[in-house]
Amino acid sequence: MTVNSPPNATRTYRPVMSPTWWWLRHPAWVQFMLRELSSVFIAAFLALYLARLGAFASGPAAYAAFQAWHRTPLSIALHVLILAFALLHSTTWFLLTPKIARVHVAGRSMSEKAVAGGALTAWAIVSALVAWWLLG
Amino acid sequence: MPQETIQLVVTRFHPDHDPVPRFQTYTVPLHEDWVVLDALNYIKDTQDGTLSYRWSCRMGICGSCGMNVNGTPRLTCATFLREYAPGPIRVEPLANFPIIRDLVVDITDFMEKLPRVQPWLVRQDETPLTGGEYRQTPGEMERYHQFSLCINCMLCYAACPVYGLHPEFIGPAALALAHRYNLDSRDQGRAARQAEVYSEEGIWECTFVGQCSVVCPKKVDPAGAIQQEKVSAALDWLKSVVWPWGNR
Repeated sequence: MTVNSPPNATRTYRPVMSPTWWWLRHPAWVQFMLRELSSVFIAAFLALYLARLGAFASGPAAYAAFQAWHRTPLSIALHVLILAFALLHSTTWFLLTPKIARVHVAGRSMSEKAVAGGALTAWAIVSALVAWWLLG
Repeated sequence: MPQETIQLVVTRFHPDHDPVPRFQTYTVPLHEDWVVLDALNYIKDTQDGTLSYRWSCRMGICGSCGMNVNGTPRLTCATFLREYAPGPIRVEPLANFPIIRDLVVDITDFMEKLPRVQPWLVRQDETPLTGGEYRQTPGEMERYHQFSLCINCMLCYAACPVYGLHPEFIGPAALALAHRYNLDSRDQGRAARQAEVYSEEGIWECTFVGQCSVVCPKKVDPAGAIQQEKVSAALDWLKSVVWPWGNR
């Protein structure tokens, strides 16, 4: 820089985020990405369910083969993974509910904890009833 | 023996000398009642007078002293050194904004976006002053009160990866303020705000990461405001489909 050149007072440095790996920079962003990724596993479960219906419609032999595949370690590992992501998906869904739905009772808005707690409790009760109906 | 000092690793950037920001380490006393801003003032007073940063009130009202502390946006006047012992503490300018010098960022982008959502009372029928003030009940005020507490500290923008990746996003604070006026019983400007608020650069850019609400020092909950506006926009669309002659 020569003596006569004006100081570059307006030059700024603009940080750039990696469009691919930005989410690794903060634990909260990793949690967000896992939450979003959980939808893929929910979709995978529904695809498996459709495949089950397809096998059922194809006859006893196809259904028996499908059932046999479900007993393989790969299938069991996949379902454990799907269950873990389904729990994450459902829990985060209900925890975020009070941000979207503001519940007013007797002219006063309920606290976020009360709304999320109510939703989680209702989910646990319904899940337990479904499990009792299916397994009982 | 209790720890007596703590290290601060501070971003330095001089626009005339530094092609990119660099870090400089300072050692400051670790006092029980010192916040990060106290440490920066100590550095500036006793070690390095060239360190640049913004601050004013020291009590969480002015919103000037926001910085990224160990990667998370915080008001440095409300962030105690002891939370980060034994250290070191990384002090950086607020993320997602251009850096002017050291810890000072350029918030011109926000200042240009803010008026686009018309964050003031918009009236279709202006009552003359002789008619008195526009009254509202405590219940009507409670609907928007939380969203009116914003101090424009920009922590939510620094916490928002969507704003970092897509700078055209209007952003959390401006959209929360739009929501605040949309909820106000005295306001009649929701339709006037729609073009900006319900646009791709508005609420629909938000992917609900939610960190804006986590870092907000005033519990404004911009993430909630944006999702509630999404519900309103979706209901508007549904009404226009089910009852297209409704607004004629």
